[in-house]
Amino acid sequence: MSSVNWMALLQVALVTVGAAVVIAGLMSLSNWCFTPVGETEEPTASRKALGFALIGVIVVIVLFGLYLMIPYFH
Amino acid sequence: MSIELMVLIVVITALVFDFTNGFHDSANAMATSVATGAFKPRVAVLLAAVMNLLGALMSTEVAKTISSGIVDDSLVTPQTVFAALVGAIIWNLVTWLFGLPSSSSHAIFGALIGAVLVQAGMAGVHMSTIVSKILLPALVAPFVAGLASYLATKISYHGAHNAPKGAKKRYRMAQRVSSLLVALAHGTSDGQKTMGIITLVLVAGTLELQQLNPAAAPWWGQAPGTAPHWWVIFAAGLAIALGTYSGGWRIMRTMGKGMADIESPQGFAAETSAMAAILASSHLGFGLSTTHVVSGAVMGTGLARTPDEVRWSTAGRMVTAWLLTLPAAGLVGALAAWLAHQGTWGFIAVLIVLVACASVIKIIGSYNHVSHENVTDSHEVKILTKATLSAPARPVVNPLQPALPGKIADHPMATTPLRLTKLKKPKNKQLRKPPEAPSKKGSINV
Repeated sequence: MSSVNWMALLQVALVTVGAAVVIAGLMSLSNWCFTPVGETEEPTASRKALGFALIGVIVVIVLFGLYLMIPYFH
Repeated sequence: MSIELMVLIVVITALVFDFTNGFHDSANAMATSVATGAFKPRVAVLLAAVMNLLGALMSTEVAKTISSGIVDDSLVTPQTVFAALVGAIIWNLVTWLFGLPSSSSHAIFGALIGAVLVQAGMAGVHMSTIVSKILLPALVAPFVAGLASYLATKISYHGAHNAPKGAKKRYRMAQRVSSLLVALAHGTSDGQKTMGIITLVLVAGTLELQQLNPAAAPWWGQAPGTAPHWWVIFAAGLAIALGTYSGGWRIMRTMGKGMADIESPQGFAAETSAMAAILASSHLGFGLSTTHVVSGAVMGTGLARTPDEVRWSTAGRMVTAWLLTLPAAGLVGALAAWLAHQGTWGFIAVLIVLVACASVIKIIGSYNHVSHENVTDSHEVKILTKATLSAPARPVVNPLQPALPGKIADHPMATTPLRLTKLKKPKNKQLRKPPEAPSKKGSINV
């Protein structure tokens, strides 16, 4: 068992839980931003903009994950 | 039989294994999307195939782990690799027949270990690498993915309940994207495994040729510890993509409908967790099973929303298959290796056994055909009569129906509505519109 790279395994576990929680949280917030308040049909422009910004952050996280994985990039 | 011909047969067999890997594991990426209706079945497998191909072309870290990590490639012969592939293909087909989402990766690892043990003994197997890069991640991965999926589902439903209007549509869109990313991650992870196997046989073939003639340098030749050839990467990517497109509908039905009933936010949560696990492990060179990861994530999301409706019997069958995969594939791989090393007739006999087994399994499978048309049917019609069996139910009066006479009216089933989770589709197209489904605990109605 001494050859087991526990740190790498822990890293995979932390990245998995962390990424899933962060992405789900951001998605949840963006969903809230796109939901109209009260009797209005549409959310306000500022809420919409925030919603798109949060989706942008999710895209950046995913692209960073792909960047880490593709050896040609680094 | 010449070494070149043997290498050619083994490479073709490796591509056949890759094809079975594709259709066996197409459920990993798309089962939840098909189950929630985010994608139509045919569109789902087409997109998954394209993403698998792209994924397979992206990285070779796992391929290196296999070709030079778990076994001593200087002791491996083309017959050994062939035997390993036979063991893995047969195990994949048997589990496909039973609709069990077992790991194709563990099938090939187990079969390879069994074959190498017969051919070279313990000296040929790197036990420390097997424990650290295969067994340990295999034990940890479903729990980590399950935990991540559980937390992500809780967060998603918290958000969806606070802002329900249009949530279903948005989560469905997010689920589409996340499932495509899982297909991409699957391509990088599983596509590479076949690349590693083919690399292994090319190394073994080259070493055998060089034993006969030290100056031999075939065009396909490869030195130990080197990365796969470009044509190996492309062929492996194409084979897994074609397998994925053919669609493993049986396993997709088990994964999408058999373990838990899934809604779009759950599918999104499960697939996001699976994607994170596969990408992180692929980056660090762990030979993780995407099947274990996705199954763990589906269980996690089921537990987060409706723990009482998680089908533990299906999960139990699946875990049993997981536990059996390494030893069973290893045993078949060992037997095939023993036979293949008896000479040319042994090698041909193994090939005949493989074709015969595949044909029999295909014929048996055709008796209970599962296709893109019935993939979203659940395994059983579940009639939940908990309400009727518990406290006295409030009678539901239907003004259009006359009162039932005598004893029939006293029976609880006569007054309490039944909750059907699945109804058989009527043949007449006009009657196919399903009735409005009753809302479930925690489900989103928008």
